[in-house]
Amino acid sequence: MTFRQVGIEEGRRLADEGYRVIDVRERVEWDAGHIGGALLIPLGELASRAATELPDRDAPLLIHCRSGARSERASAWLAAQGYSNVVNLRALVADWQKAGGAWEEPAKALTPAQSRRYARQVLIPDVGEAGQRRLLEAKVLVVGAGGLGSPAALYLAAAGIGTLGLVDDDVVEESNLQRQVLHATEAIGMAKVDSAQATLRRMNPETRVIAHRERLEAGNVERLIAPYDVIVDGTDSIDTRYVLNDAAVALRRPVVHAAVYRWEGQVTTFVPLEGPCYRCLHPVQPPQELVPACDVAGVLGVLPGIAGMLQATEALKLVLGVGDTLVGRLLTFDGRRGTFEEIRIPRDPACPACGQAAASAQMGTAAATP
Amino acid sequence: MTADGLTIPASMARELVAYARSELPYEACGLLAGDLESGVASTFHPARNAMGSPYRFDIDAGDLVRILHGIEADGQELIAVFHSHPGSAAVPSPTDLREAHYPVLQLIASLQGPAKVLRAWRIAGTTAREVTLRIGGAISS
Repeated sequence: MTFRQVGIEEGRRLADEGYRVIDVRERVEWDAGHIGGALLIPLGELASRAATELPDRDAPLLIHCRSGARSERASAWLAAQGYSNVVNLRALVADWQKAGGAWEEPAKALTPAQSRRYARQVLIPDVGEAGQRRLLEAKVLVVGAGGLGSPAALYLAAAGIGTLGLVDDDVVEESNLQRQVLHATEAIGMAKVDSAQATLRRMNPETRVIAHRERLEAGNVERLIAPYDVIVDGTDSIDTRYVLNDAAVALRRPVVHAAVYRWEGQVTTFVPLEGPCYRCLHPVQPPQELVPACDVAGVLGVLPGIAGMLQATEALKLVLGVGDTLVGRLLTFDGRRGTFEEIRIPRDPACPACGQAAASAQMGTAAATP
Repeated sequence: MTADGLTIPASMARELVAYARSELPYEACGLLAGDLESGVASTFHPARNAMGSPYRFDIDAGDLVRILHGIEADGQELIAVFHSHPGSAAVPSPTDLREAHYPVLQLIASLQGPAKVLRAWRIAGTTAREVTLRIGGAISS
């Protein structure tokens, strides 16, 4: 029995025809990148694995290594074992990728420490190692390091979100501590973002926490949100919510919204053009009596906790791309009665931010910009 | 000039749906009071359904008078009549069209499916036209 030797072009043609591609390099070489759909059998393991993994001795096989030298020995051995249709790729496999052949670069695997730390969520079929890597690569911005932002940021950091931005220009006050659980008693007087950063670093040193000690406003909103994949809205100001909404719609960033009032809370997710935005719900600023702030109306501390954790859940789903987000649905709850209600919220076709006229005007602008 | 739409706080949306559920299997009903000019409702007044029916409603006459007097005493205006549809869409039924006696908006909640639907309608004669319903009134952290 003998075998043929081919170059890159012929090898690609054979692979397209259905030749099984066998990579006989070592695993570390494979991990750096390999032919798409290939099977890894390092040369040293070929003798022990061939019978079970290549049972059909008449199947067409294309054997390769880095340069064609190791695979030549592998091909000779296979031919000697009675494999009738063996072809050796006598070429640099790097040229396969350069020639546009199918190529896979496996994503970085979790480190042993990450595998241990995130074991409980990696076990979830919707998450797995690939999902955990997504979380580790994700960038989430939490606007407001207060009642909503505290639980959201804590759980996002714990889940292994790679980059967590925090925007807040306030300092920690004594009356915040009842609900803003990022901040401990010793933090009174500290900038909230600094206190939050210290807490989150203790929670998970692997999460990169970026402190933006400024108030989100029209002049800085695009710079602040553009680098992030998902925005969690934990602001305490209606003005800020409008500014954030309009920039998020323009930049197509999802915003997870929540609000709380005494014993009640509400959460929804705004994904631009997929569902309503904040302005679909409030085209103009609602009357002041409908929007009391916590310092006026009061709030049970655990209420923003519940809402913020629901926001974290939404942010994780958006990053993972799994489950049903709250797009188009308002989840409301009443802590006093212990009830949740879910209400559909439609997009407003006439919305000044995301409606048809606004969207086409924006596209026109984009098209006109070189 | 009055607003051709209705705005209700999210907490009221929750309250309406919760009340509608509590009245099952019957249609629930009540009145929304607020500011007619801006179309913003600020108070929901639940009422008894005198018909006790899953398919029709009639606001209990005693409740109606009591609530209307209360709204006047609060310096507010009646801006919408609310009722629920336990098993059908949030669209006026032929009966709803016939019996819409008050010249105010009709707000209907459908309890079908997990996500409840609220829709607002203006009924004139025997035709209904949907008007924009905004659920908002967000609050802070």
